[in-house]
Amino acid sequence: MTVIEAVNLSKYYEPPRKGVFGWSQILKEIRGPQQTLLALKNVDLKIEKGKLFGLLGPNGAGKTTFCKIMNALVIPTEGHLYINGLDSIKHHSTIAAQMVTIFAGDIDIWNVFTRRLTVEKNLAFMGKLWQVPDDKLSERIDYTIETMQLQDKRNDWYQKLSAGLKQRVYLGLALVVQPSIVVLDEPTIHLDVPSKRVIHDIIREELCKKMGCTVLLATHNMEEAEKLCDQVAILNRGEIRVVDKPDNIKKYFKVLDTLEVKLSGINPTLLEKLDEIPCIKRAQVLKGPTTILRLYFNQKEEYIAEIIDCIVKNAEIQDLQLKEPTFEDVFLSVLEGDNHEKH
Amino acid sequence: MSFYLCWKVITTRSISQPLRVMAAFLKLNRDLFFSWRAESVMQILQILINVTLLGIFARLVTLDANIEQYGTSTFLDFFLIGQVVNIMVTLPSGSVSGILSGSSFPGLFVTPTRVGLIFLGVNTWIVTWRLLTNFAFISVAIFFFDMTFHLNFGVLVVFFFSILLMIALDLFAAGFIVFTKSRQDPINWFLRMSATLVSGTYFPPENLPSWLYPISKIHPQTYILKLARLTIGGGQTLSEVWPNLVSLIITSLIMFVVGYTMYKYGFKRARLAGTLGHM
Repeated sequence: MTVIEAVNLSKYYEPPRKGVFGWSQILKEIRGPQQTLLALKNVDLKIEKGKLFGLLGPNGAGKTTFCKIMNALVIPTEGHLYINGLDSIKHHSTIAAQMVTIFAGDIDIWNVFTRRLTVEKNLAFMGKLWQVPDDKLSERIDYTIETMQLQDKRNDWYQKLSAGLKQRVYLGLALVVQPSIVVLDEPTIHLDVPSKRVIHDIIREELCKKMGCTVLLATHNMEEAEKLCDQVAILNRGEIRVVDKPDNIKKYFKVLDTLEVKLSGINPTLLEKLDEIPCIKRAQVLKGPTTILRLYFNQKEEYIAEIIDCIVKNAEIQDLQLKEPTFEDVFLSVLEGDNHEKH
Repeated sequence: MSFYLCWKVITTRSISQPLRVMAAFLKLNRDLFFSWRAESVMQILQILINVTLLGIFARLVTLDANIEQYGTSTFLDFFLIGQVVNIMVTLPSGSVSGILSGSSFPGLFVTPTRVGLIFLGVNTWIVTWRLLTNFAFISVAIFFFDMTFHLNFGVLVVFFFSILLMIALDLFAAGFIVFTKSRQDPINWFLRMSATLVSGTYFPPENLPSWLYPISKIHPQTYILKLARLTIGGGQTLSEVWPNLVSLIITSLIMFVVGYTMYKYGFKRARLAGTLGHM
């Protein structure tokens, strides 16, 4: 069952105003919106119920705009975004009752929580806005505080918390409300490694497994997307480049393997001989205290023995390292639109 | 039986849920207000000092003006009623524009709470507090300075349409602010700055210099103060003030439509530009 569906979704923003008041621009806007800055372009996307879906892209790719359209904070230029079959702009209140969005990247810009109130009172207030019944509210706050490891911060004013703890409180909102859809925009952006692990566990164990939520994770952290997501969409310059499981995406894109060899006693014809091997796309010799040969190639299984044999015959190997492409390599390769072919 | 029916109506979800949200806002803002403990005590002291000083000031000052045309028998009444009305009609100032331009609005907007209820909720505590302070002001003015205070249906109608007019102006200001992304609010700025000087809060507008007098003619608070003094101080009934009240009612209704349209336009433009909460 499709929970979130984007149909030909595009968003162009207005250019920033120039001048002190920008009166000339205001006059132009009155005549008609000036929308020129691309944020999303013809995005078609389906997210199935109960899936943890990653929206992966660099800064400015359009991830936050997508999340804001889900919350009716931004109106799209073209197309529609449906949540449980309802248009996200027209049925905002109905959708909001089933969805919690954590704009963690904007935590310092938007005062979601009241600074001079305790963590407990803040969570209780937000729970009431989401219509959590009174008989369940205190129980859920206890559960959230324990799960988020905030026991000793329960009665502390929100403003006294560190950035990481504030983010935990913000994420705790999803546990208090227990909605069917959770949107996480850069949920671990301000966190250290142990806190990130806590959040990853909570996303996987609590939100996905226990509560059965559909989770949209917008992030630029490839490791996070690869580790957590059932499915990932790579978004670049407002366009979806690929949607699949992280493992499939690795296979999808022919990202080259790298072989790095420390050599001595090199035969001058080594590079010519390596050129004859069809899988080698690029060969580099880096000269320094030790000579390093770096080869970029594909079809590893078929040609690796031939490559090593060629090197052994034409030089003396001191050290050898084979680097397999990571999800990060795939991601960067997609972003750069480099010379790697698509299957 | 009727009590039971009322209780059943209140406890139906469509009514109880907004009430619960309002109560949550009230509690949150009350707790926030009293988190500044010293400041809350100082505010209460300030009310008492204010009313005492204003009362003494009004007893000492006499003006060569036709106070009777405002329905108040003394300058003291004229002055103190002006203060009461000033507090009441400035209640809606910033009630929408302040929230819409604030950084907490997007966080509230993404909740299932409807936008109208957010504005009501955020203002619940401040309105309650200012009504309480106004009540304290009126009580001190009545008991210690013999202020005449009539409370009839006419007073309520005058206050209702005066507040509606101020809400309309604030809606217009909200639309303007959110559209231009300006941190300044020229409408509320003009109303606040000019109200005390030209509208007749402290002295009749006829005593203004001739070049300033025309501004009092276009200031809505001038008419609100006049009507409020006639009803509160003069005890005039609704039918007696009706000829003067009609223009206030018509202005309020027209301005409400204009203000609401501007607010809707500005709000939509901010969502198109993606600038909600970007002030």
